[in-house]
Amino acid sequence: MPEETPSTNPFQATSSKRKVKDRIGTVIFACFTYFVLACALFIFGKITYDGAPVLFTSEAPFINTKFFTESPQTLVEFTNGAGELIRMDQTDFTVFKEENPDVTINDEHTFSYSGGGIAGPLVGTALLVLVCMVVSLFIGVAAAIYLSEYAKKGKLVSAIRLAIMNLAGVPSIVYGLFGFAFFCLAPWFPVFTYEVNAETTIGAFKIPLTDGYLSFQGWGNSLLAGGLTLAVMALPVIIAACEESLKAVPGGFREASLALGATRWQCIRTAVLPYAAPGILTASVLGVTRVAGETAPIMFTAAVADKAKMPWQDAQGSGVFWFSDMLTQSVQALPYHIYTVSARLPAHEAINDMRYGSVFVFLILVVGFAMTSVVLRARYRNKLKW
Amino acid sequence: MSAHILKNYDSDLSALKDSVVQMGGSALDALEKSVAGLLEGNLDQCYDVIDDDEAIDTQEKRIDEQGMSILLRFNPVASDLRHVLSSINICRSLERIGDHAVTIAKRSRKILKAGAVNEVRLIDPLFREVQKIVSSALTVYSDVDEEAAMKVIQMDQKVDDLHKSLGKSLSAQIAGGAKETEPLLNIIFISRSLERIGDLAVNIAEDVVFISSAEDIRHT
Amino acid sequence: MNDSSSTLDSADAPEVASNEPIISIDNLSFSYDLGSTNTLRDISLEIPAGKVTAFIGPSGCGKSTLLRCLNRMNDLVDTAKVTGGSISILGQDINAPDVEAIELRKHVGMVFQKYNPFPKSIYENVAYGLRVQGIKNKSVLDQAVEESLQKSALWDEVKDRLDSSALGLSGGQQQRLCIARAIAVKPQIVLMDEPCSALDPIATARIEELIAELQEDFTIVIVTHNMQQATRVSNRTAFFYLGELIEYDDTSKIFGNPTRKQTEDYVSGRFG
Repeated sequence: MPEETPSTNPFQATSSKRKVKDRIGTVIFACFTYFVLACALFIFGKITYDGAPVLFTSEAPFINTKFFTESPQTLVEFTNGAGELIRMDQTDFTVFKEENPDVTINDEHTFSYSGGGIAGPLVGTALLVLVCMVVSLFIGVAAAIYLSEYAKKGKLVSAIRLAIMNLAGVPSIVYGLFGFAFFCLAPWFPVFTYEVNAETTIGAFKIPLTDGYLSFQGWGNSLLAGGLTLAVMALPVIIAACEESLKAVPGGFREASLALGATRWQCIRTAVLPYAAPGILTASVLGVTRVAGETAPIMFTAAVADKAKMPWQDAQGSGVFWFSDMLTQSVQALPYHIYTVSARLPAHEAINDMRYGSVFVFLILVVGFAMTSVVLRARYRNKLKW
Repeated sequence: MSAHILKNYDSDLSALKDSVVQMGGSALDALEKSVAGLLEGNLDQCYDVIDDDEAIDTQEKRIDEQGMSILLRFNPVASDLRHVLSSINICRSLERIGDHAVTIAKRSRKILKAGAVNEVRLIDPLFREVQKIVSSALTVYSDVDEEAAMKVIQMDQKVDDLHKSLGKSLSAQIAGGAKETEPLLNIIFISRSLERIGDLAVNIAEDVVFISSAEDIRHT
Repeated sequence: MNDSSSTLDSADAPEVASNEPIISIDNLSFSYDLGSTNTLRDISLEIPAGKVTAFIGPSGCGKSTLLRCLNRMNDLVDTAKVTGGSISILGQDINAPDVEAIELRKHVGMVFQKYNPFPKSIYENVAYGLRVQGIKNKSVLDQAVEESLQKSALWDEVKDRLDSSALGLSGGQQQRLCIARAIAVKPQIVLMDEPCSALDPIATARIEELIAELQEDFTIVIVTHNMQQATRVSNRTAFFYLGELIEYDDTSKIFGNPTRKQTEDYVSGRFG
C-alpha cells in the first residue's frame, strides 16, 4: 500500500466557504453597477431608437435638414377623402388648401409647436450658452484667481468659499425666480433703447442720448437675463473648477516667477494662468453644459415657446441700439421646447417625432460637449506634465 | 559624549579603540619581555618576542582595515574623524615600538649568547622609565586625557637624560679600553632603541592631544 | 568668457569690498504666525561677499526660513512677520518700508529644492526674469540667455535646442537651467535651497562643480541637508538648531573642530 504523502503545496485552499462568500459579494456589487449601466443604456437606447429616424432619412442627403433649418410651428393632421392619415405643417397646409380647394378634409386636428424644425430653440440655446459662458468665465476666473492667489487665508475667505459652495446646492427653480426678479424686473441694469419700458422704469434712471436713451430698466424676458441667470448658476461649479486648476499648477512656478522679480500679477499671468487655462476651459465647458440643459432658470427669464424670428432678425435700430435690442429679445430654447412639447401638450402620436427628435438632438449636443471637454482635459493633462 | 544615531558607528569606533589598546598591550608586553629576557638571562623570552612580532603586524593591518571601513561607511567628522586618524597613527607608532622590541631582543640574544656582562644592569633604570612612559601613553589614549598626555610628553626628558648618561658611561668604558667591547656596543644599541620607544610614546601622547583638542602639537 | 562676464555685474548696485559682509543679519527674530511663536530667534551673522556660505541643521531648525527671509519670499505667507532685528543687504535694511520686494529679488536670486523650470522652451525659461522686467530687445535677451547658459555649464548641451521644451531635459539639466534662469537677471547673491536633494550623485557633483565656478561672480548662500556637500562647496558654515544660530565659522572649523557641543553632536551624527 502506497503511503499517503502530505501535499507539498503551501498555497492550497484551506476553506471553500470563504471563497463562496467572496464570490457572492462580488456578484452583488457587480449587479448594482450593471443596474446603473442598464439605466444609461435604456435612456440612450430608447431615445436613439425613436429619435434617430426623425433626423436621418433613407434618401440623400440622409439628414432631415428641415428639422435643423425651420423653427417650430403648428402641425396639422387630417384624413383625406381616401381615408389616408396626413400630417403637414400649418404653412404647408394653408398652401395645400389653396392649391386643392376641393379636397376633402376630415378629422382636422392641430398640434402647436409640433411641426417644422428646431432651428429657433437651437439658436436660442446656443446664444444663451454663449452669454452664460462669456459672463461666467469672466467672473468665475476672476473670483477664483482672487480666492486662490490674492485673498489672505482667513475666516472671511472660508465663509466666501462656503457661500459659493452653497450656491451649488440651490435648486434651479430658485435661480429662475432670482433671475426673474433680479434681471427681468428690477430697474437697475443699463440698456440702450429708443423707447423706455414704462413698466420697469418706475423711479429709475434714464440718460437721453441723441437718438434714444441709456435706460436703467429691467431687461424683461430676454437673452441677457437668461444667459446671466445661467451664468450665476454655473458660477459655483466654474469657480471651484478654476480654483482646482489654479491649485494644480505647481507652487514652484509661482515661487520661481516671484523670485525672479515678477509682480503678483505678472506671476499669475505668465507662470500660472497659461498652465491652468486648459483645465479652466474644459472644466468650465463641463459646468456650462450642465446648466445649458436646465429648463427652470430660463423658464421665467428668457424662453418663449413660440417665436417666429431669430433674435437678430427681430432686433430694431442700428449700432449699440441694435445690439442692445438683440440681447433683450426673448428666445426659444431647446430644453424649454422639449418641456413644452412633452409636458404641456396632451399625449398624441402625432407629436412623438418632434418630442424624440428634439430630445435626441439635445442629448447628442450635451453628451458631445461633455465628452469633448473630458477628452480635451485628458489630452492637456498628458501634455502638460511637470 | 552622547551616542551616535547609528549604533554600528559607535560599536565600530569602540572596536577600533579596543584594537589599538590591545595592540598597545602587545607592544608593551614585547618591550617588557625583550628587556626582562636580557636582565634575567632568559633566551626563550627573547625568542618569544621575535616570534610574536608577526602577531603585532597582523594587529596593525586589522586596525588599518577597521579605520578604513569607518572612514568609508560613516564619513566621520570632527572628533570622530580625529579619533580614527589618530588611532591609525598610534597603531603605526605601536608597530614601531614592536620593531624596536625585536631589535632589543636580537641584541639581548647576542649579549646572552656571548655570556652575560654586568653592564646590562645599567639598562634597568632607563627600561623602567620607558616602560612607565609607554604604559602611561596607552592609558592616556584609552582615557583620552589631554592633561595626562602633556605629562607623558614631559616624561620623555628623563628618558633622554638616562639614555645620554648611559651612552656616555659606556662610551667612556669602551674608550677606556674595555676588554669586551661588543656587548657594550649592543647595550648602547639597546639603549638607543629604548630612547626611540620613548619618542614613540610621546608621539602617541601627541595624537591623544590632537583627538581631544584638535591641536597639532607635533614639532612644536 | 572673461570679456562677457562684466555684463553680468549689476550696473545700478553698489559695489561691495571683498572683506565687507554683503549680508548682515542683526538679532533677527521671525515668526510665521504674527509673533505668537518665533521660528527664528535672535539670529546674528554676517555673510561675506564672493564666498559660499552653507546653512546646516536638522529639519525645522529655521535654515530655510532664514534663507527665504533674505529675498523676502516669506512675504508670500500672510502671517509671516519679522518680529525683531534686521537684515541688511548691500548696506540697505531690506525690510524697510521703502524697499520693494520685487526689486530686492532682482538682486537676490533663488534656486529651489525641486527644480521647477516653466513648461516653456529652454530659451524662454532663461529669458523669463528679463522679460518680466520689461526687456524686449531680442539681441539683449539672446546675449543674456547665452551668457547665463554658459555660466551654468549648460550651453554646450542645449545650444542646438533652445526652442525645445525645458521639461525634456534631465533632472540635473533642469536644475542647472533653473540656476541659469536665476543668474540671468544678474543678481549679486544667489540663494540655493537644497538644490541637489532631488538629484542623483552625478548631477549633484555637476551642480557642486557649478557652485564652485559661480562663486567667482556671485555670493552664494546654500541650505543643505548633505553635510558632505557643505564641506565640499562652502567656505563658511552656519549651524542652526531650533531656530537659533548655534555656531557660525569657517567650514573646516565647523566640521573639524566645532566649538559648541551641539554642533559637534549634529555634524558627527549624534542627534536624536
